[in-house]
Amino acid sequence: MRLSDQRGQALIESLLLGMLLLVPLIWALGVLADLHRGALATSAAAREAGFEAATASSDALAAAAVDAAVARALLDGGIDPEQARASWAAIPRLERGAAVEVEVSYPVTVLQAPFLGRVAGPSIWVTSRHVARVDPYRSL
Amino acid sequence: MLVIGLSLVVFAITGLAVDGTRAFLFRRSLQNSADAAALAAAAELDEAAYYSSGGEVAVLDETAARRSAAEWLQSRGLPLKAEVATAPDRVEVVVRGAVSTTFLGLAGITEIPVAARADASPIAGGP
Repeated sequence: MRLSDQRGQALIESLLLGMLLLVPLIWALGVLADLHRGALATSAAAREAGFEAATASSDALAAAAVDAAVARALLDGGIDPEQARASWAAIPRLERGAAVEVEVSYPVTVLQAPFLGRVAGPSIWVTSRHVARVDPYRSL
Repeated sequence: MLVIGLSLVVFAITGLAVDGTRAFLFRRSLQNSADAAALAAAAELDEAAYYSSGGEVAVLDETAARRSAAEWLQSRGLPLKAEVATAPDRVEVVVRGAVSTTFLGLAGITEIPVAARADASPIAGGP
């Protein structure tokens, strides 16, 4: 038997506890989705940039190819390329058989407001690295 | 009771999302590594066969191809096991790894096995 002044109490408790569980969960899933998107986009960007740089005939052309490939891949992933950082290096230098290493990083904002997007706060940097080989028989 | 049940469901869904995402991303890393290793290995030509045919026949130096793929995978520093199979006209790289789970460990699933495969062939000619 339930007292009359307890009527509806369970509903309120369920709502409060539900909110307490669901709000952080939805926020965490939103951040996770962004992290996933960032990781996919940066890995695609690093991979494409690596292949492009490995087929370039000079450092200047390789740098331009890396920038273009990174921007294209990040835009495909719905990410603003301006926020990302990309670096590349040919080891020992851009020549037949060399290794071309590309690293792409993107900051995922932890605090985001619904419908407003980014809010000032900490970011988690997602980084991807790819190593491609310059064809040892290519013409230069 | 309802709240406890709901919490368990929410926890399970979060666990699947987190651990599943990590496994998916690790598989992508493995695929990128396998692709790059296969391409590097396919560039190891048998030069004697190539030059004696006047540049018409491109076949692999299989020993060099296996070594090249192994070195390439090692340079990535990923925790993986690799199998490299070669034939004169083809190299196949299979990489396997495992992702340690965080949430799914509570359900007895401590790691998720992940694998990726890539193959490449040498071709004569080109730019």
